[in-house]
Amino acid sequence: MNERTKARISFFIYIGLLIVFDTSYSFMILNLFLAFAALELSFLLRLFHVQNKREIPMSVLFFIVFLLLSPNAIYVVTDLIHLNVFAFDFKEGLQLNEWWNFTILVSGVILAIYYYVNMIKQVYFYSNDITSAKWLFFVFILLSSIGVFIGRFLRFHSIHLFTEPVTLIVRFIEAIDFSAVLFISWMSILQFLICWLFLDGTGEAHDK
Amino acid sequence: MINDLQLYLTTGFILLFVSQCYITYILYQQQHSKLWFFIGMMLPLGMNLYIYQICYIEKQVDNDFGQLTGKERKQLRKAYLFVLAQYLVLFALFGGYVTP
Repeated sequence: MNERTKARISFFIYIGLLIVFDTSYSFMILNLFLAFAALELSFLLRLFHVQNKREIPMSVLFFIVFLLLSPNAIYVVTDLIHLNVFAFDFKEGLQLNEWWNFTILVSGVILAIYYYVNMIKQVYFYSNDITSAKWLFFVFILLSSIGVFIGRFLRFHSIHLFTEPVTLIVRFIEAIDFSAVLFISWMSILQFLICWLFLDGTGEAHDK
Repeated sequence: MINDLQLYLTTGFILLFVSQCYITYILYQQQHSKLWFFIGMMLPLGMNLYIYQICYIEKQVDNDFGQLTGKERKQLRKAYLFVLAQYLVLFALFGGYVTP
């Protein structure tokens, strides 16, 4: 079974589970949908590769939408903070409800990491030139970290860049301070770590 | 006077209708089958194109869209952009309720 099929099967099973069973993390339906949508769009990157000047507007529009959606994959990792709705006081014995919800949330995060890794592969292989691929990869990770910061702390969605672009940019500039830079750096380190662990050999594959 | 919600809803409806017709046209033109015409018209929000992608496009070219003919490539690019536009309008509607 290829990675794409695995991603699809896992997504539909996960969403089905969240719809059918009672959990405290039903917001994961939307969050994982957005992460999965970003992955599916990444598979279309080559379709929107510009072949002549007339294709530029459509391709630019597609790349903008993809860039706006792509941070959603790594954003799901930060949803782990919602584990704090449960006490997890193990001295009180096994509370099944807590661990059921733990399983649901953590499996959603693992799936999001899987989608993220496959999405990054598509971004990395988009460019045929190894140097530009590395730059693209670096910029993509940095933009994703900024996207996570905007989504998590300024509470903006990707769509607000279309509906309220000025407000979003002004709020982002106002919010940038030392702590924000640290947070963005930590999110980038997290992404580099994931890539280093799960994309090992990508560079060699690119050279072939 | 027309408000934002009405504007988004009207735009969304027109987009949905036009893109359903366009995707159905592509699917029918490629497959010449009533089943694909039915799938094209009945499944909204890009599900029709998604199923077609899984059943045919990926089997035909996997991820190498260079194998498509110029016409097929052009039609697919348009169809996917229609689907994206549908989601953008949907998110714009949804975004109105989740404004920080």
